[in-house]
Amino acid sequence: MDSLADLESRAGREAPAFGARAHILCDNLVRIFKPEGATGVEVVALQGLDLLIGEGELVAIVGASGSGKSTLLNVLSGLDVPTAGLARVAGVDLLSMTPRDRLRFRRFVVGFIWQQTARNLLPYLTARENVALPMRLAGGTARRERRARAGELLELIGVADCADRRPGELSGGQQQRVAVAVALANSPQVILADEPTGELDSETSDTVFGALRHANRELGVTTVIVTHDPLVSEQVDRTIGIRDGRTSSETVRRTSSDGGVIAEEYAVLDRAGRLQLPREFTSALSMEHRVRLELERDHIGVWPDTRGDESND
Amino acid sequence: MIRLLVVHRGVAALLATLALGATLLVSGLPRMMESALDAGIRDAVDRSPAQTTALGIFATRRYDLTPLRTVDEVARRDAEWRALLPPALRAVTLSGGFYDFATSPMAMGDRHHQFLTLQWVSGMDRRIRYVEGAAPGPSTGGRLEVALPAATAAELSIANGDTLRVESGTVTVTGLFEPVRPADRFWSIDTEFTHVVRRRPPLAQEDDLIITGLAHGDSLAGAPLPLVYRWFITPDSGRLTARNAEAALSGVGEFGRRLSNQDLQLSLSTRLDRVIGEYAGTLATTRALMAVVLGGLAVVCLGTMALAVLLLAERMGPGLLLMRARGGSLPSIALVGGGVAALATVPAVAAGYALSALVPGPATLVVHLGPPVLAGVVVAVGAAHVARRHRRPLGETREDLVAARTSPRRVAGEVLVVVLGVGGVLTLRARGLGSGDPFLVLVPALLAVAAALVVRRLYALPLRLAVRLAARGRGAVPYLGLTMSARAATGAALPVLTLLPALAIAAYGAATVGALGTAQRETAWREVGAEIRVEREAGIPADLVERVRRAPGVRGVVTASVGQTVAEVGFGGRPATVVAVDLDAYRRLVQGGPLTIPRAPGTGALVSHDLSAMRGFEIGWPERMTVVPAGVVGAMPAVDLRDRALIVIPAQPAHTNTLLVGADASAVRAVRAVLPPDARVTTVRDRAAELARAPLASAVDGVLRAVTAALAVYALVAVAIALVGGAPARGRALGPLRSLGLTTRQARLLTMIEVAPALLLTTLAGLALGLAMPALLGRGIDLSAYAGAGAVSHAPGPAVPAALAAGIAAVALAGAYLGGIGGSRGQSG
Repeated sequence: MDSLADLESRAGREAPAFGARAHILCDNLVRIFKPEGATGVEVVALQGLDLLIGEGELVAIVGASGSGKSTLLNVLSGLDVPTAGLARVAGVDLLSMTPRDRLRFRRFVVGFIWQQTARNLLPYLTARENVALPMRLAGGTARRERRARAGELLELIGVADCADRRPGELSGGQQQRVAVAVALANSPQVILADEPTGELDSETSDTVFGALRHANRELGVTTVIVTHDPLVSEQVDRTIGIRDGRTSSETVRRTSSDGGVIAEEYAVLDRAGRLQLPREFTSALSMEHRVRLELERDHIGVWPDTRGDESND
Repeated sequence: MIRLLVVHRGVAALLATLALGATLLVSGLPRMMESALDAGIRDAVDRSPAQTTALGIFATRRYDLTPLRTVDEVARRDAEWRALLPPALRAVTLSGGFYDFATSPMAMGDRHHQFLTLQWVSGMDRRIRYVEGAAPGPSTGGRLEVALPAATAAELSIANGDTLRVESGTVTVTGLFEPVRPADRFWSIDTEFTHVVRRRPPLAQEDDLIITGLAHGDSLAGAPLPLVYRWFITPDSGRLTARNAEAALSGVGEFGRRLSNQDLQLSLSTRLDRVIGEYAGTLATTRALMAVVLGGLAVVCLGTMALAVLLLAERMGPGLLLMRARGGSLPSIALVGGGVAALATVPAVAAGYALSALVPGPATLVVHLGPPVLAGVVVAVGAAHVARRHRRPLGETREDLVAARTSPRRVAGEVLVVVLGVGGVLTLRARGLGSGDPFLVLVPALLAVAAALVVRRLYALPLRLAVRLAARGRGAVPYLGLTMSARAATGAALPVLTLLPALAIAAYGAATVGALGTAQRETAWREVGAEIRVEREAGIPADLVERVRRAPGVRGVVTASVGQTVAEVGFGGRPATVVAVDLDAYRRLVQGGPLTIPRAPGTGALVSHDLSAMRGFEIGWPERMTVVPAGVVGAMPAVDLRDRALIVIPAQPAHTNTLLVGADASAVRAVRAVLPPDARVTTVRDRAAELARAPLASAVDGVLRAVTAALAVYALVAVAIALVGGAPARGRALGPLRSLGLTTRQARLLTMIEVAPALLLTTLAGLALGLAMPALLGRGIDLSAYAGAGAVSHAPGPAVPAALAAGIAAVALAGAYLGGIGGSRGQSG
């Protein structure tokens, strides 16, 4: 039992803020789409999302179509601005950025890869020129330097032989790997990929994911991948599920003592104490509207509201 | 940027072609028009008798001999008067003129009704050559020597060496001369030397014959005779232009004022100010008309080019989006967008500007400023659109969002344009376009844009009704097409904003061309009086009339007598033109044509208003008779009154000198064949062609036709660009329908039905506005200047503009049917 003095000293100590050490932090993040300039029906894409990702982590985000994954990624990459909440990437607060900060953020802090292979690369530039483009847009790098860096990155990703080819002359997998190199051009701290293997067959997906994982391991870049592809989601350290604009579950993988991979699925308890129960659990027990909670010594029990059913009967 | 341009070379080439065409039109047409305007003033001055357009400075010396007693003194005065010319006037006059002095006509004592004027003219020695005798020498013993034109001397039977008695003494004829170059403009100013002047004093029975002889200068100046001195400064029509005409006009006034301040009593006599003044009226009308059509053309060209540049920007969109997402700053992205537009536009504009230099004509400010403005606007639109589109890096919009309503700011902007358009029209009607107010010049184009905005807002209403009706029908295609059309109703504004002004101005241009042609034809009819008019001073005998009547192609012949007389009213009489013709026969002859022939009174004659108050008066031609006015007539076809009174005797004339022939065009040759060579034949067709050939009329006609054609082309291109621009979205919409079994034919039909309501409504609105424009512009633009004296009404049917609009709509719909689903094939395949 704590003494009064213990409690006093604990109260006096500054508690670490929520996600203080996280590389990517979202706290109660809200994004509402409004029709421009006038009244209309709003779409709430993120409804108070919480997310913590550590530096150098390789994380997959999964969820049904329309759950808010792409919106989250757009917010994290600085392409979109959240409506409310807190979003911080590599120490940069995404809500209080000026347009100049935002530009700088996109240039130097994050790299981005889209699902559509054609969308990641300019069709009339060679692979090397595409990789050099972000450096050119950012300015301050000499032409020779840009060329050398582009070569290095293509080498690292394993597509050095495609350097002088245009996207039209590359396979889908090669294009996506070049896109990874493009995303890495300005040495970002975070790479965000929106279904990078969505248009590819499983073999090619593997090479692209391999490239991402290689960048993560070799360069220590925090990597977040939105995906539907189980091949990807089952190979990352952590898979975060999103439902209805909130993080709902997390699957953490660790290697067991016998070398096998153990995956443990958790429900996410947000800062307000909200918890999303998997739909199959609730429907199996016919849980609707409300449940009964009972605090036990080492867990909380969740019970169907049988009294409610009786009173309804 | 160059690579980006190469990738989108198709759209870039389209943009470049549009820019080239627009620059050629915007730079070339004003050059062409200015050159026609310059030719117009030259034509106006050259067509007027040289005697009237020269600046004649007159001084009269009575019997006191103080001033101007020698030729040198007169010459010195010439230099003095020239020094008084205002610079603007001096710039358009010839440096070498001439001056002269003359007595008034002196009766030759021994020759009844014959008069001699003694005159000295500067520089005469190089204009004449003596065919007999020599130049007059100084006077000896008060007797003056004179040289006479050989032709007039022969007419009055005066021979070299004759001595003529005149009021003040005697003169000896020392030589006979003839002009070295009869075509020299001098002879049309100093006409007295060229012929015997006949003058009939009031109430006299016989003409006075006046000849002019050349005297020795100093002798004549020193003689104790009253003299009239004249100094002529001749305008150089080659140096008169549309741009210096106004200054020259005010220069004439200023010159007159300066002359009135001299020690001599001088008067300035010229019609140059009147000629330039009349021209200035036409010039103002032409400039106003050109401003309307060229303003409309510029709006349409800009609209079409803006559509092309937006299409280019759309095509570049994914690439620019990627650059923006990869860290491209907004200015750099806008620079790329504007740069690509500039790369496509600027060389084309420069080429257009260079090519327009081949169009003959002076370059005005518009010629130089138009191309850079065009290029600047296009590049700015490209850069602004790209900047607006990529202001935020994420270019996508969510499809599950309800479409935005129009912002109040936009509604206010549109209301402002409509209010400005309507207000502008009211102001224009009140003040006319000649005021040169740039706002008023823009009003027609503004009105067209305002009408387009209204159409765009209102067209959803009838469309909804159509959708409801289509929903009840069996076929799915009309319903789907109209629904798609209704969904796009408030969308693309630019095609409507381009198409409607294009159609309105094209319809206005076509209506104006038609009205001009009609007016010129009517004027020709009024001037000629029948399809063919035959005149012969020696008279037309009955057998000749009969031969003309029997010539192939001749429908009928009415005989008439047209001549000059003096209506013996008041002290001096009133010069009058007499027309004797059977009015009923004449009316039957020209029935169905544009002429209105007055009805014949029971008895008496029709007279012009100034004679109508008389109970009766005498005339001496065609025979001595008493005219009893029985009605008022304002004008008669085929009669040029020139300030004379008109007397119409409604009876077949005894003496015929004019035939009014009803015939088809082929009859002219046959009619000419039966006529003697001294008969003059005039036809309506020739006169109309002559009116149409006049520099201003033909240029206005040419420019209007060129602008109308260009507008039609640009309107079609605008529709085509809108179709191509909408193809991807249409393809996305048609894709699922194609997978549900929509055939290609149905897809084509669907596209056509989708496009048709906006297109047809815009076409109708544009046509209506174009046809209403003459009425809306009111007296702002008066086209009568191009049609001789005739008034121009735009009333003639809207057939040509309607056909033009229908043609554009049909071609556009056919284009939509055949090419509108280009984007859907990839989706459904």
